[in-house]
Amino acid sequence: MLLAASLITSIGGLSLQFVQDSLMFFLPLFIMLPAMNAMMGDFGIVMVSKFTTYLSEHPRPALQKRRRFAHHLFRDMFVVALLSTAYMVMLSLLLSAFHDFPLTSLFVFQTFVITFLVVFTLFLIIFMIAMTFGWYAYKRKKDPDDMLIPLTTSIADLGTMIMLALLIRFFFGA
Amino acid sequence: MRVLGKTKKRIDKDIVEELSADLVALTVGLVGGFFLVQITGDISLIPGILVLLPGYLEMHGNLLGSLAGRLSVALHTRKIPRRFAWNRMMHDNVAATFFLGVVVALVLGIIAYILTLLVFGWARPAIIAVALAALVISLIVEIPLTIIATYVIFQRGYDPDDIMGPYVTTLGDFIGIFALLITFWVMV
Repeated sequence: MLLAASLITSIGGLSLQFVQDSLMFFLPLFIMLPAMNAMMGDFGIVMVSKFTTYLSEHPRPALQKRRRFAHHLFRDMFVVALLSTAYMVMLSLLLSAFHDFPLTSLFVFQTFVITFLVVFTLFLIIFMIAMTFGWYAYKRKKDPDDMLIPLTTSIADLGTMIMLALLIRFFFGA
Repeated sequence: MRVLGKTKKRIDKDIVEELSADLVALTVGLVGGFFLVQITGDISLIPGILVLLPGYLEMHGNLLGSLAGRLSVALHTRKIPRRFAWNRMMHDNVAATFFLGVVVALVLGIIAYILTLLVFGWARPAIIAVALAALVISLIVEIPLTIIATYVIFQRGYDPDDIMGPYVTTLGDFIGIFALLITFWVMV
């Protein structure tokens, strides 16, 4: 699974190499890129780890109990994602100002929209993968941590880079 | 209602733990991104380094996240004692993490080399050696820090599952980039 994840992420890195010059033009997004990748990976790790621990503490839980757990986890993580994303955008805009990057109100708005779209689309995808495949791995007596942490983090990386590239093209026509 | 009250308290505790860890990780990550802008000119001297970089950084999170996750489960289910002790389980986990890291670093380096050769026509085998050397250097530092942090967090009454994710990805980014730069300056 780690090797598959490495291949997926390398493909994402390839897209990064292609858009390197364009990305430098949109400095706040370039500054945000490592942090956004890490944040999405963190969400994957936290979701999978908490689900694995829950399954270890409550062997073979009924569907209703699993749903209740998933509901609470989704709510907690959603609040964290919302606040973290707002903080990340504001700090990246502030840091880009140190590079004398010209910030207009339209650009700031577009940056917020792009970032929130990327984060919450991938958040939903990673959550569904963690819950669905976590249960699948558990039923087959595999450790979900070993299988899903590399998978969710590589999907987060690849998804972040591809979505960023597409949204930059859409919003800025670059 | 008492049960609901306890559940609500635990949920709020989880949100605070996760958010705190995330905000610290984001701050370090954004500062790292700020410095990445400064050094992009230097690291671009190795063709294809940007193909390697995301996978290389993510690998640290994967390896250390899995290690921390397994330790966390073992602590929660009391398969290992609360106080740190070097035992069979610890030995096997550390050895597996290190071995996997070496294998994945080699594969990443080879994939980066092949992709840049096929797509851009750049051939620089040094990228494979850089990936491997940088990873070995960083794992020597990161593995002990991950184990210590998991134990400390658990012993203080926090849930390692909430905090270790952001911690290991931040640690991986921070130490990984420094290890990569050191390797790059020495070898290239």
